[in-house]
Amino acid sequence: MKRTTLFRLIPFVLGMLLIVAAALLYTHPWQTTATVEDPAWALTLVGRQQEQRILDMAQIKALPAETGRGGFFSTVGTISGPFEIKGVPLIDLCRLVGGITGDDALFVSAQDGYSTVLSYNQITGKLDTYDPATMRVVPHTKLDFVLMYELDGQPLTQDGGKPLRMAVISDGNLITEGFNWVRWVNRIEVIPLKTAAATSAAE
Amino acid sequence: MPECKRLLLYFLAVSGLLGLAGSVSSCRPAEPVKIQVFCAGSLMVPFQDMEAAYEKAHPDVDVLIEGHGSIQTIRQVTELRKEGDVVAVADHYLLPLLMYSREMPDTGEPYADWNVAFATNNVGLAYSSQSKYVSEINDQNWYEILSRPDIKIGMADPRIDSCGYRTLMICQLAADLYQQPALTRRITGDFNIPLSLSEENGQTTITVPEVVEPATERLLLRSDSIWLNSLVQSGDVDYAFVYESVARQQGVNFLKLPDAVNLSSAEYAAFYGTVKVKLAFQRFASMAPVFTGGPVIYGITIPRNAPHPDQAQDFVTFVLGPEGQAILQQDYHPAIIPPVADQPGNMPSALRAFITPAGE
Repeated sequence: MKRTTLFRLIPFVLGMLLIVAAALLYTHPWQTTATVEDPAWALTLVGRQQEQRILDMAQIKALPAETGRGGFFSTVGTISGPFEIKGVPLIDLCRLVGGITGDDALFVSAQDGYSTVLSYNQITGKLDTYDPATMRVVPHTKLDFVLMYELDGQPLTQDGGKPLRMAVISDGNLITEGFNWVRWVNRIEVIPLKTAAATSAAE
Repeated sequence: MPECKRLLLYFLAVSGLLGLAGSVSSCRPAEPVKIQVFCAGSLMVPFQDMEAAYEKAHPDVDVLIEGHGSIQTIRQVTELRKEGDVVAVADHYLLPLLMYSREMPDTGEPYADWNVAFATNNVGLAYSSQSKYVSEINDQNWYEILSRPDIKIGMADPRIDSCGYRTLMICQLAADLYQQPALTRRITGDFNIPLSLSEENGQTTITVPEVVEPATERLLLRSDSIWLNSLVQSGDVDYAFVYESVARQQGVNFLKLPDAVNLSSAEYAAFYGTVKVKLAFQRFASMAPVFTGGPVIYGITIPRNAPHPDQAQDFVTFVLGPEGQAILQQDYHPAIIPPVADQPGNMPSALRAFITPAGE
């Protein structure tokens, strides 16, 4: 091949490189979000007596679902929602492993290492609800904790807690504190509350 | 070879178009570089003011501020793998604990290896003109007033918020200082599952159970202390334990407690250290839930995987320099002057001009 022909090929090669680079930029996930992604997602339920059940998404979606409206506010006051939410009530999930009583708490944990604990009072409705317009505490007549898998008619996004996120729904357009809205939930455990240690804080 | 020529012409046209597109885009004003700052919620007001001032002087940079609780702030980078250029938290000890000791999966290097202590704070009492006994309360009798049975008190949930476990520390320090052994219970009232207290080698440990539910209406808990000021303003509580900077930023009256208990003074660091709060459940897998009393000190660092290290360094220079310090003061957030670095040798050299090495 003559040298002049080689020179003529340079734009071609450059063009190809540009196209490949453009394709890479388009397809590569540079903007990484949460990396919790597992196609074989399973939810582990553990009861008070260590009864254990593992449910896949199909089994979870086959359980009776509840819908309602709910939203939350973050540590710094950012309000999200209220949304239309669909999910399985936590109380129903507890029943699959022996139920929960007033002597128990519910330990909810996620794949990213985050966890929270709910009291029986909380999951049966004793929780402050807020009017998103005023941020004042307002009463509710019905409140449920659910394990949400659908928000505004759509499956959850990865950053939104896919495939399962804890949510609080009520009979109004109310919001609750965000730390309970655990994303990427993969384990729910009924734990007997420990009795107080030998000395009370006050004594 | 007409086919080959056609192909060659096609690719030449594509590359030409791409080149043209590139040259056109280069004629447009450059998009500002976006730098992501993750900060503690109590830093939001001064950092938003710094963002505005910095962007005015640097129109080529867009500073994005995102606030969380301090542990969550660090987790954005180390566990949720979000790209962060600057991390600033309300407890500088968290940075070595959660960033120096944790390796980035790509390189095996730690997420950070230095931090600068640049601001302080203290915990005291927010109150309103309608609060009970407001004409009587002062920094000498506050614990007696708060012990009265008709008072309503607000505090942050110690399982969730640093101000919450610091409130328990303050009550216990006051119990020791004023020889009032039952003070914590008198102030907070009873919980459905009691807090427990133990003592060993002169150190008191308060253990917070998995569930924290006040047994009476005396105490109102919120997941974050920034929500307590509105409870005071609405009259739902008489007094609430909050950070001074946040109370003053929100225009709420604030009673500063004595330095011996308010967690502000390095002079009392040893006394503060006699109290520890231990949580009975682990909220974050990466973080042992035990907190020892100490002065409130804010720390800032640049993660080693920051996508825009030069711009991050310039922004941190601004935060640590006179303009950043002035904004902190203007927002009632005491600055540490000069800021103190724990590992100055690991810092970008340009930043060293603004700091004092720890221990000097």
